[in-house]
Amino acid sequence: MNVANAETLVFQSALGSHLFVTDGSRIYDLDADSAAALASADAPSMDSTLRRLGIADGARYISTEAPPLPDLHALSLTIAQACNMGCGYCYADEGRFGGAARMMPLETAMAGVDRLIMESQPGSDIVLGFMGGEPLLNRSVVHDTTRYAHKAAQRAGRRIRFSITTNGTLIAPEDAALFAAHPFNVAISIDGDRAENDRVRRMHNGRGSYDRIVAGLATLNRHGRPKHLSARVTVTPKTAELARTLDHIIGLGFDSVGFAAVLTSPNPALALKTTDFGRFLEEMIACGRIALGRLMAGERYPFSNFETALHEIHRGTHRPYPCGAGAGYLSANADGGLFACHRLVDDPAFAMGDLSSGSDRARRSQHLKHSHVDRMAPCNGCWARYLCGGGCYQEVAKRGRVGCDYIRGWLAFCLASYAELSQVRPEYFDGAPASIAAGLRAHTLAE
Amino acid sequence: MTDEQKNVGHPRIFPRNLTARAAFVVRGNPVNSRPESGVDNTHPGLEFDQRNLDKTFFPGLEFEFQYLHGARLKAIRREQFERPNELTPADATGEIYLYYLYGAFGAQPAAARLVELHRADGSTDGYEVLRTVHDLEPGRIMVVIGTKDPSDLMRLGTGAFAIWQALEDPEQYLESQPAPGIFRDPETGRLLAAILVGNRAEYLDTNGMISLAAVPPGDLTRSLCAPWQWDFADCGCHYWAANKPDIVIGSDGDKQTLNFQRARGSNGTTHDKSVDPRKYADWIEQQMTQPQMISGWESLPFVIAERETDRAPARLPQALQLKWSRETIVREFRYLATIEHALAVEYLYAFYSLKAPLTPPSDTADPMVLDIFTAAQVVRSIAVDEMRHFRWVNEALQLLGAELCLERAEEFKRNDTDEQIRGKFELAPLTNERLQFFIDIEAPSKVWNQEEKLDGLYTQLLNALGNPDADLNLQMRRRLREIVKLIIDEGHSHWERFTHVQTLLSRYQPKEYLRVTEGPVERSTDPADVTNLRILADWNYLMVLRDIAEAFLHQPGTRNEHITDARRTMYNLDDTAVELAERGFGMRFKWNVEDLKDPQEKARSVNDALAELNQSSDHRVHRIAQNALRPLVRKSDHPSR
Repeated sequence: MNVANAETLVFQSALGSHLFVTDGSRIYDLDADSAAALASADAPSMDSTLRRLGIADGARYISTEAPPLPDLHALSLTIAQACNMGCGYCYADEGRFGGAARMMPLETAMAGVDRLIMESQPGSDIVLGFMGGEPLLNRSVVHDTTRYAHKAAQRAGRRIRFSITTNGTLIAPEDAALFAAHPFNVAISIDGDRAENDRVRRMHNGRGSYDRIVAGLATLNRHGRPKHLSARVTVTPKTAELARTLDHIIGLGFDSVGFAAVLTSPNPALALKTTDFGRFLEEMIACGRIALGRLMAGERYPFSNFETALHEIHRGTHRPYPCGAGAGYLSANADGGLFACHRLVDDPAFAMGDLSSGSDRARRSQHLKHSHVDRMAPCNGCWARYLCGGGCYQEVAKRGRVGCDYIRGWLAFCLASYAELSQVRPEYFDGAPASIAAGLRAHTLAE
Repeated sequence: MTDEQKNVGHPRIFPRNLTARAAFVVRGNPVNSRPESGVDNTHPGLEFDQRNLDKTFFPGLEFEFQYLHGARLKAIRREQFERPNELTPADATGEIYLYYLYGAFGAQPAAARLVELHRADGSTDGYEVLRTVHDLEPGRIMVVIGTKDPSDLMRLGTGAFAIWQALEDPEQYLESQPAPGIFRDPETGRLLAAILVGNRAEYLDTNGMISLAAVPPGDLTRSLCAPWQWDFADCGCHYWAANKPDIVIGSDGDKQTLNFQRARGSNGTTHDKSVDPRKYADWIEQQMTQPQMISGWESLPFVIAERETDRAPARLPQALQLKWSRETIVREFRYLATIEHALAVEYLYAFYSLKAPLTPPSDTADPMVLDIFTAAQVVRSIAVDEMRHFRWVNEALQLLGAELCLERAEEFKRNDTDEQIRGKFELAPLTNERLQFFIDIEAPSKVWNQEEKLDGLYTQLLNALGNPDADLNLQMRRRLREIVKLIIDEGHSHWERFTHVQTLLSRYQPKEYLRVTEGPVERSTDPADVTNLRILADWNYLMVLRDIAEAFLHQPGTRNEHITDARRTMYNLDDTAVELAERGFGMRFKWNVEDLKDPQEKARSVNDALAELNQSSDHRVHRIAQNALRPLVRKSDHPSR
């Protein structure tokens, strides 16, 4: 029985009772007496109880003040505000983002590279992302920009990585070669086996995309596999059993596979209703249990939602924001305008400057000040707030916070799984394998 | 939590993830706060003063370890005696010392032995006593304490007999489980001696904690470096090296023989009595005590270049910035390289001209031999300094991307562009006139850019390197300035050292200390050996230069071979020069910079000379030839090939 308040969660695992301390995302094993004491402590006495146990000394990890504005380190280019598919749930509305279809000119893309370099720390790692719509519709700009960015970064003393989120239907041999020649993370959107996938993810002519994705995977395997190849599976109320989908897609040979539930959608039928979250949680936990079993056995099972959570829990990641949007990460639309992230492209409420005159630092700082999770309700009363961060800005702006119970349920499961896995197989957490580390980074951009 | 973690009664919280582990508050003191991992010594101590750990090694008695007197009884704590006795705290007020200690010591823990710790002639050293006590193993021990004056023991009567008996056979005495022996002056009741048995106190208790009974709070650190003047006075490990000189020259003196910490009179006068630093007792007898240091440290003078002074050193005027171009700087360095080369050779010639033994004479040798040997060594060390400067200047040229300069100046001009000649290069024996010339040229400049003086040349260069427009990047300019500063600093001492040489040699007649009395004049009547040795010496000189050049041209990895070659050739040169000098001849140091590029031609003439020397019946000459023939690491250009 888990007992929670704003600052702690007492949770159970196969090992016994544990304490999760929100501040600093710290996890402790508890003996029975301490567990009982903590479970029964009310909010006012919690602090003194924690002190008595030698856990808290009053110093906070997270300050209520927003941190100073970080330097830019990641930029995504909406290289094609157009798509060759028409998936009903697409946040980008087939790439148009509610406007006219357009391609990003090469000059704008190069300006994006320059801007990223200009506003980043010397010697730092930077990420350039290609998004859309379908970025490969503007193939030549993707290629030219990549080559340009490679040289520019070298000259400027930055270490650059690339990412591309694609529907996988247009991958040509030269694209594969490009992705292999430079440090690329390629994220392909695919929703399941042919039946599952082609139910929603269809080409403009109504034909399914599954076979073309498989052909694209074959091209990658033959002409150059990127550093990391991940699959993003979008979950709607109609999605079949997740475990089966997960297994199938892992079987296609991806380095990592992750689920993303639809919360906002042009076609409302494809978004999860509040009543759908219960099943979603059950199915995610079912996938998690399978993954946990495999990991405990020392096998590989790249369920990225789960593995990312495990590693972040192990490190004790704690942050008052859900992601780097508006902070170290910005997204440029085809005309060179800057926005907080790729989901908020063309949303004036999240406009943050432009490529030629630079990012709007005042606006970015204001965004950080405003979005601190401790200032949000109901976040400031939730034990999971520094793991969750308050939820995706775009989803919350559009729909509000509807998934909190799901998030807490999922995190509680991950916490218990972490306790068990770290006991049985501690070496899993020593030096995360490259695929996990790359996956972690990919996660921040490809969602 | 593991089963083990669960089984303990009080709350057991186990941090599981990284942030929890990082935040975990460890109860108790970390391992680096334990005494056995401490950095402890007694000068007076960095973490704690070891002396304080052992002063109560015998429960009931508290000692102080004193420099010259050993362990003096400071206090008596009756309640700590294992066996009650009639000693009272008042008994500690007399001058009672630890005389004997019987027990097992660390070096041989199985065999107990008796150690005498207070000698009648007062030669006991407190450190010795401390080390002995510190080394004492736990277990049964016996101590004999007595008054400072051993003759007091004569008044003990039967007590003396008891003590002698115990000292004769301490083991037996211990086994007899004797009562404490307290012996007093029969008339005054003053404590004269005592013999006590007990268990050596251990300063850690069974929990590994410092025993409060043995060491009350504050005790371990009470004599640490506070106030700082105490440590400043006491420090024997040269921790204060930079600001606490040890041996200095007095403000008016010329010899570096005074103890910087000697006691100073209240009117500022000092004990200027020179002491032999080899006699430690003399040295510290005139030293400021710690209390004197605390109150008098501000009266200590500055010491600049080993000399006490109350003046601050002169600083270069900032106003004048020489605006030399990079080419000018390179040219100046090249010129200075030729100067250093010339000086090194001149000084070497002077060194070889002295009639000094090859190895240091013993302390009991004739003072004249000692003096000449010292003088010769000083001249040689100055020559070596110049060789080093020659190398540094070439390193500077390399830094500047310029070619090496191995040439030797024929004339001393103000600088490279000066037409006036102020002196000519000359090889001459070290007569007093010659020595005076060396002193004059090495003397510090009266003004910062006095160009007749060597340091003036370098100071100008230093100034010029400060010019930000000289087309040199900052790093290079810094490195070059470092090199020049080093040369200037080393050069300062040359003047003093030559002056010292002059003082040493002024007591004697030149014919007593010179074996070469003229320059390298060649006469047809010179013996064949001498002619051949001269050829070989010049060849060695050429090869040294060639090896040095090769070393410069190579990277650190392959450079070593050439440096080894250079060193070996230098030894050969030394042998040859000495051989010549002992026959009364100086080597010519004759060379041609062209020969450096192609030594093959030269090699032929040397071959003949070597062959003849190899036939010599004089075993030393034969050895020199053999050394020259020995294969060098790099085999090209050797005359025998």
